[in-house]
Amino acid sequence: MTKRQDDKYIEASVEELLTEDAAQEIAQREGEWNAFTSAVFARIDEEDLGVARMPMEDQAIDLFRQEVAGELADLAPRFEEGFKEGVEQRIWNAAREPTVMDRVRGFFDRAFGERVGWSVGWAGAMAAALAIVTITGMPTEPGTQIAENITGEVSVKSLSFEGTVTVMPNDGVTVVWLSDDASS
Amino acid sequence: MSNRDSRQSKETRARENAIDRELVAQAKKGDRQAFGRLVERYQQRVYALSYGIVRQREDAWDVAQEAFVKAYRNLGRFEGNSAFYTWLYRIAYNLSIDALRDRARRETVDIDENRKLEEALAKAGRRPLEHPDEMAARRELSTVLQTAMRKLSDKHRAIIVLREIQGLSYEEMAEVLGISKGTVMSRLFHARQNLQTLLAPYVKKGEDVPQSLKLALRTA
Repeated sequence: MTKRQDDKYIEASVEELLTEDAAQEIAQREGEWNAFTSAVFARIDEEDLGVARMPMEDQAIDLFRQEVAGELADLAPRFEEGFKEGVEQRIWNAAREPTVMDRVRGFFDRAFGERVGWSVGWAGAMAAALAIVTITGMPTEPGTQIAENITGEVSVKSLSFEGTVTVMPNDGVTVVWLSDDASS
Repeated sequence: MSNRDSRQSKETRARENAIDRELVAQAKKGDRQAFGRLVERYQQRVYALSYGIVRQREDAWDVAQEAFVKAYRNLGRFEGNSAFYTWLYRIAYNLSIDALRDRARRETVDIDENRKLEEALAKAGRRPLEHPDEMAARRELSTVLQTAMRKLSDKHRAIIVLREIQGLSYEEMAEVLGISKGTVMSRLFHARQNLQTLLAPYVKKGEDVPQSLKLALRTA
């Protein structure tokens, strides 16, 4: 199929016409561009005003959110390099350190030697400064020293770690304070 | 958020929880790599939580790592009744509060912080009107807002972190904090109210923000 010679002429005419139309349209609207720009800025201002009218507490929270996000971004390389490794190292170190339970066991082993029969419901190794030990046949007066008052067979009925509790003299418990060198 | 977004978000969370459950199960069997993946999944979020509360980089880093150590050591006790991350956040939250208490014992009263806020409030209150310098106003406003956040009580700041930074629901926050949903809502309300009170000297009620500060507010 042969192309008609006037096809090119028609195509060129359409292109020219469109270009001309576009130029005319732009020329006609020349005076409107300032209005358009103004409208864009009016919208921006409106949004600014909206933000400015946000309650101050929301502004503070928003800033706080940005601060935390910035902090995370700052630390991104450090997370990649060593956060997980740091956790692993801590787990390893913690496994090597004696737990509170080890310290309590050590304390009793030293205080009573082989006489102590352990029937302890292990509560798990929780970091706590205070161990409450309920011991059968033990005096419960405050200030009594276990090592000085123990006679005969004793057995530990239960052992719990409460962190911070108030123990009264009539509670029937003996409070054992663990010193830092208890496990040594 | 539209219903569709909300549904998608719930679906995503359900998928994430399923992955966590699987990793926790493997970690419980002694798979350290599985626990390592849990660390990777939550390290930034746990850090963001601890940093939001303790506001000190090294302390927050320490707290975040310690939270994972505690989680690892107590994984056997985690029964899966709640999502892993709420359990983990709870550990991190408690450690963060402990860290703040330790710091408070060391530092007693932070007089500087009080003075800084008062100065910033005083400056910001008059400066924009006298000297409409946007940059200066922006800096001052930023200081005011940041200091006001710091002045919030630990509990109030923590609840804002959980809600606004971690994006937790009221139910999830209740799980993390070990309080009822009602208490969560009330505490959140009071946190915002306290923030409002702290910022009240800056913009008096019913008064529009000074023109010179509009840009500052937008960019602060």
